[in-house]
Amino acid sequence: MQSNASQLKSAPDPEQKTRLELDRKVFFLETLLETSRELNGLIQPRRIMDAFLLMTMGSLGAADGLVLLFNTRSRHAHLVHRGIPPAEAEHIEQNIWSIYELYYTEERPSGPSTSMPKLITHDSLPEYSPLPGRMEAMIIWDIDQEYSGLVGLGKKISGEPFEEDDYSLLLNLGNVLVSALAHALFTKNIEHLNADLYKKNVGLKESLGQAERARRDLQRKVHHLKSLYELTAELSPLIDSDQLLESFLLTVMGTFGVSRGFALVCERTARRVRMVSRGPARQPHMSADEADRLLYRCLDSAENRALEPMTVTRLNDPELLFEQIMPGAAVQTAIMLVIDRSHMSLVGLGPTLSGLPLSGEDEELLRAQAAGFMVFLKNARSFEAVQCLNQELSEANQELRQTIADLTEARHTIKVLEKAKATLKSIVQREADRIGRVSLLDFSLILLAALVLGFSFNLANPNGIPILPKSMLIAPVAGIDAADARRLQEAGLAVIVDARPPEIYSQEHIADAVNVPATLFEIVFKMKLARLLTPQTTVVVYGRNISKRYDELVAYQLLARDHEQVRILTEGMDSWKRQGFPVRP
Amino acid sequence: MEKTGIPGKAVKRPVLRKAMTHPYLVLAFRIYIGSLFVYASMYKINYASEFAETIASYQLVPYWAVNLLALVMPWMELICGLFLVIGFRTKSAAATIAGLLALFSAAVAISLFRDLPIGCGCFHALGEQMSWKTLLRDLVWLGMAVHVYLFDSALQVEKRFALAIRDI
Repeated sequence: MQSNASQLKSAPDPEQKTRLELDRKVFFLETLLETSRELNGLIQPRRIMDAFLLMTMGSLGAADGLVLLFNTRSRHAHLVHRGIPPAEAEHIEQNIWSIYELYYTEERPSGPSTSMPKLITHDSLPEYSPLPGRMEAMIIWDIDQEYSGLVGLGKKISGEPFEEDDYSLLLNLGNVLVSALAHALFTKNIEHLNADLYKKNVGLKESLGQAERARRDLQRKVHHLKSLYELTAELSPLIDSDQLLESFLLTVMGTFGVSRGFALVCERTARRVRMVSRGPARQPHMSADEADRLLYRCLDSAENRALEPMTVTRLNDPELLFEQIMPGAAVQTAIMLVIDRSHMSLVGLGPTLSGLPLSGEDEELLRAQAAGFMVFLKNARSFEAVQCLNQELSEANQELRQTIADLTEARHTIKVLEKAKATLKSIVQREADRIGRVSLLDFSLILLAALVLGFSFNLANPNGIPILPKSMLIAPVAGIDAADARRLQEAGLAVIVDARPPEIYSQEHIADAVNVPATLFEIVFKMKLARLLTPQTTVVVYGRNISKRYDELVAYQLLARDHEQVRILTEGMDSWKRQGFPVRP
Repeated sequence: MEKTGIPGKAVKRPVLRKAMTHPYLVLAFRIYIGSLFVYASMYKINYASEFAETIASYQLVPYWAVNLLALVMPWMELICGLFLVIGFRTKSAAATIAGLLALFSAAVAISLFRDLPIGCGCFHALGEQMSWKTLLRDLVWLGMAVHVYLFDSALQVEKRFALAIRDI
């Protein structure tokens, strides 16, 4: 090239000049083509830079040169140099970012566009440069916003200065370099993007897998929850333990597609066993002792022997375990439910219709169902206990009511008794108060007692006396006045009888009167009176006082002796004396 | 207690009063009068007709009431006498007996004034002739009955009973 240029300058012939010009252009174009071809196959920026430097230095005949590529985002820089002493190269490498700052202070273009390379000739180079001072030409460029770079060339080996053509070629070469670098970087970027995309694809695939798994989990959980919900819906309206057990077994068998199975609940303290079974191997009722033995055997083969309340444990080797007790049941899965220490339950399921054993998830579901069943069973038991308590309470209430009724009656009785007692007490106290006093009642009572006793005794006494005088009870005897009596006496037609006792008679009596006391009537009548009387003789009797009517007594006795002419002297001896008739002594 | 102003008498009177109203003395009077009436009633109950005669002899009772009285009065005497002896309703019994004695005394006094030639008939129909002594004796008995009425307190059947009742 140097020879071409010198030939161009020295050749005065226009034709030759034109030919030289054309040669030079051909040479330029060939160089560009060659460089372009050289760089085209490369994709590594460093190698591109290396090849470019080699080609550029070769074609321009530069003694030394360098290419710098800055990555402003990652703050990485590549340095490729030729013909620079190692010390200088090292110095450049150390000051690489101050070089960048020196040449790239202006605002960078926004957007991903790539700017055209800018040529800085020897004249416009700054005085101070961290680059070696003999740099003759420099190109700086930007590739989008991330990459920048510069190419620097030293003096030519020939010692000639750079000419216009050299600069033009350099600029064109710079264009090729920028294109190659941009292409390489773009390719690299795409590769990065591809790698990222691949990674992201892998991640997406994993995520898809996970999502699928999650969906399956979700489906399974939905299925579990649905089964549990169905079981709950099935069991919740039931309050009877037997019904609960049967319903639970049927639901579980339906859930897992099992054709035979059994479930039993054993209350050890109450010695009660409830058992239900379905399928061909239907088992009759089991006794409490059998159930006890079975439970011990089950406990032996249980996975968890802690017997914590409200736990479910799986039983190992169920077919063998239940073969003796339930021959033909072919139990594949069995669990033991510990509601509390005295209340346990066993559930055994035969082979599924599909013939596959229950999966881990199915067993988990079975456990969940069993746990739900335990809660219902416990509730049912509580309900039964409450019912039992209610029953007892109502009985106790009945008894209480009866007792209250009895008490009320007793209280009533007590009231009556209290009243009676109060009455009695008041009577007795009144009587007691009366002790120290004299009362009319006492007198009345004494009088009444005396009357009753006196009359009673008199009635019973053979020597009793009449209560009232005889004269008050029978017709009175006819009377005669004193004058008539005197006349009859004087005519000798009457006998006057003094009926009073002798001692009174002896005090004073009617003259010629015969003393016939009533008490001595019989004797005196015979001795004295009988002689004096004829049937025509009138007997005039007198003698009475306030307390005694002697005359009437004697008159009655005379009348009793059939003597009809008996008269009583009216007003007695007093009228006799008033008339002035004689008396004695 | 009456104040006499003489120191010696002021002490003496309560002692005499105490002695006179001593429960045992009153008890003795009570039993004596009670027994007396029981004894007196025996004859009168057995021989009602004779007692009726006796009543009649006093000439104080209407003729229609004589037998009635002869039947009832002895039993009253018996009941009251028994009450006095056992200490039951002593106040009423003593009052009744005092009343009867007062009647008897009055009857005797009237008969004595009338100069009736009769026996008192207190114990027997054929008793001794009535005299002022009879009246005096009846008055003494009346005094005893009144004394019992006023001061009796010992050995009363009711008292124990009454004490027991008050405890209820």
